[in-house]
Amino acid sequence: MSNPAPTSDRLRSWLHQWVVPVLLIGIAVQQMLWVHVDGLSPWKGGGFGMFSTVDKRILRVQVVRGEGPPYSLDLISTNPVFETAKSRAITKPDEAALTKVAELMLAVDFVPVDLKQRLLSQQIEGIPKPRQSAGAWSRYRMRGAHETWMGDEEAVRFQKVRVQVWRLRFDAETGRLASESVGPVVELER
Amino acid sequence: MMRSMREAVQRAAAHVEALPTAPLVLSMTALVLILYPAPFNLSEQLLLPVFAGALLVLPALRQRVTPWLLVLMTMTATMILFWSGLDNHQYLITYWCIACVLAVQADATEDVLRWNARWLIGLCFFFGTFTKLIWGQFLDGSFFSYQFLIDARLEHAAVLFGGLQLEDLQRNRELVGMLLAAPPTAEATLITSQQLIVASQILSVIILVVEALLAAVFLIPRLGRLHQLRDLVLFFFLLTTYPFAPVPGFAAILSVMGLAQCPVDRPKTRLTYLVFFLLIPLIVRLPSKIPHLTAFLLGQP
Repeated sequence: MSNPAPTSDRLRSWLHQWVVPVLLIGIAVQQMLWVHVDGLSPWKGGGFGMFSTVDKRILRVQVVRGEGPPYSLDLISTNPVFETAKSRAITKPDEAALTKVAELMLAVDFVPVDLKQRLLSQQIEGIPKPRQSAGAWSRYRMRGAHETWMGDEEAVRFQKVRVQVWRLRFDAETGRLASESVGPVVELER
Repeated sequence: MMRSMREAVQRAAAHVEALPTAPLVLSMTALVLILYPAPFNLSEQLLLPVFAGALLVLPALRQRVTPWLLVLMTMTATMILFWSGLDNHQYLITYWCIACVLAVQADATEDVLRWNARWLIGLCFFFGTFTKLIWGQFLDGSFFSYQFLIDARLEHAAVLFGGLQLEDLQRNRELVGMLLAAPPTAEATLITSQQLIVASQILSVIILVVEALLAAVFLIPRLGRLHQLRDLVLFFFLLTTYPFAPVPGFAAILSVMGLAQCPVDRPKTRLTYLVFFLLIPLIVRLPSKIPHLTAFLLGQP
C-alpha cells in the first residue's frame, strides 16, 4: 500500500493546477460585474468580451471660460498623465475617474488650435448649422508642461468643467446609430 | 514536387518531435514578450525585451524561477497601473507567465504547462462565448453589421454579401465621424440592407458555435472523441480569425498555448503550431491586402 502524498505536495500540486484558472475566472467575473454595474467597457478589463458588442465611446467635455456660456470642447492632448486619466474614464466612467479628468483640466492652460470648420450633414438630426464665429466648434489643446505659447490668442484656463462619457449604440434592423450616456456627469469648478 | 514537400514536412516534423516541449514553449513565450509588449508602459517596453531576451539567448535561465518572476513582476505592474487600457490578450499573456513561473519551479514542468494551457484556452473561449450571449449585440448581428458598414477593410465584403455600394459605405464612415463630433442628442441612420443583416447574423452564429466548441473541447475532459478535435478547431479559429482581426499578440499566445497542450506524439500538429506562430507577422498584415484582393475578385478597379 502506497503512502499518501504529504500535505505540502498536495498543496503544491493544487497550486500548480488551479492558481491560474482561478485567477482568470475571478478577474473575468469581476469584469462582468463592473460592466453591469459601473459601465465598464465590455471590451476591456480581462473579461474576454471583445467583439461582443458595439462600444464606441467618447468623452464629452463642456467648459466655461470667465462669465461666458458653456461650450463643447474637443479635447486634444499630448499629456501622458491626462491621456491615461482620459483612457481610464472612458473605459470605466465612475465618479472618481471623471473627477480626476475634470481636476486635471482645471489645473492646466489650454491654447487654441486652428482647424477648418467641420462639415455637418443634414442627415444628422438635431445639429444646429455651424457658424464661423460659433465658439462651440473651436478646438483647444492642453498646453505642454514646458511649452511657451506664442500664438495670437491668449492661453486660457477654464472656470468650470463638465465631463461625461457617451457611447454609440447601433440597431442593425433600422441602421439607427444614437448616443447614450454611460456613468455619471461630473461638474467641477475652480 | 508533392513528394519532396511531403518529405520536407516529415523531416521538419521529426525535428520538432525531437524538441522537448518545455524549452520550446518557454522560448516561444519569451519571443511573445519581446514582440508584443503592452503599448502603454515605457518600463515594460524597456524591461521586458531585456528580461525576455536573456531568457531567449541563455537557455540555462529559462529553467530558473527568478527571471520569470522578474518578467511577471513587470507585467503585473503594467496590469495594475494600466488595466483599463490593456487588451484581453495582455491579461492572457500575464496569466501564461504565471503558469511559466509555476512550471519552471515544478518537477513536472511540461505537465504544468500542458494543464494550464488547456485551461487558459478553454476559459478564454468560454468567457468569449458567454459575453457574446449576455451583452446582447452579437447574436442579432448588430456587431458585425456595424463592422461591415463602417470598417474600410471590410467594405468589399459588405458589397459582396450585403449588396451595398462603395459610396454608401464611404457615406456611413463620414456619418459616424460627424456623429462623434456632434451634440449627444444627434442621431444618424446608416445605409444598410436586409441582405447584410442576414449575412451578419449567419456569421455571428458560426463564430459563436466555433468559440463554444473550443470552450467545450478544451474544458471538458471526457467528451468522447471530441477532445481529439481540439487542435483542429483551434487551427480553424486561428486561420479564419486573425487575417481579419489583426491582433498578433492574441494569435501568438494562443499558438504558444496550443503547442504547450498538444501531446508530444503529434509532431505534425506541433509543427503546424510552430509554423503558424512564425507566420503571424505576415498573417496579420493580410487585412490591408483584402480590399485589393476582393476588388480584384469582384472585377472592380
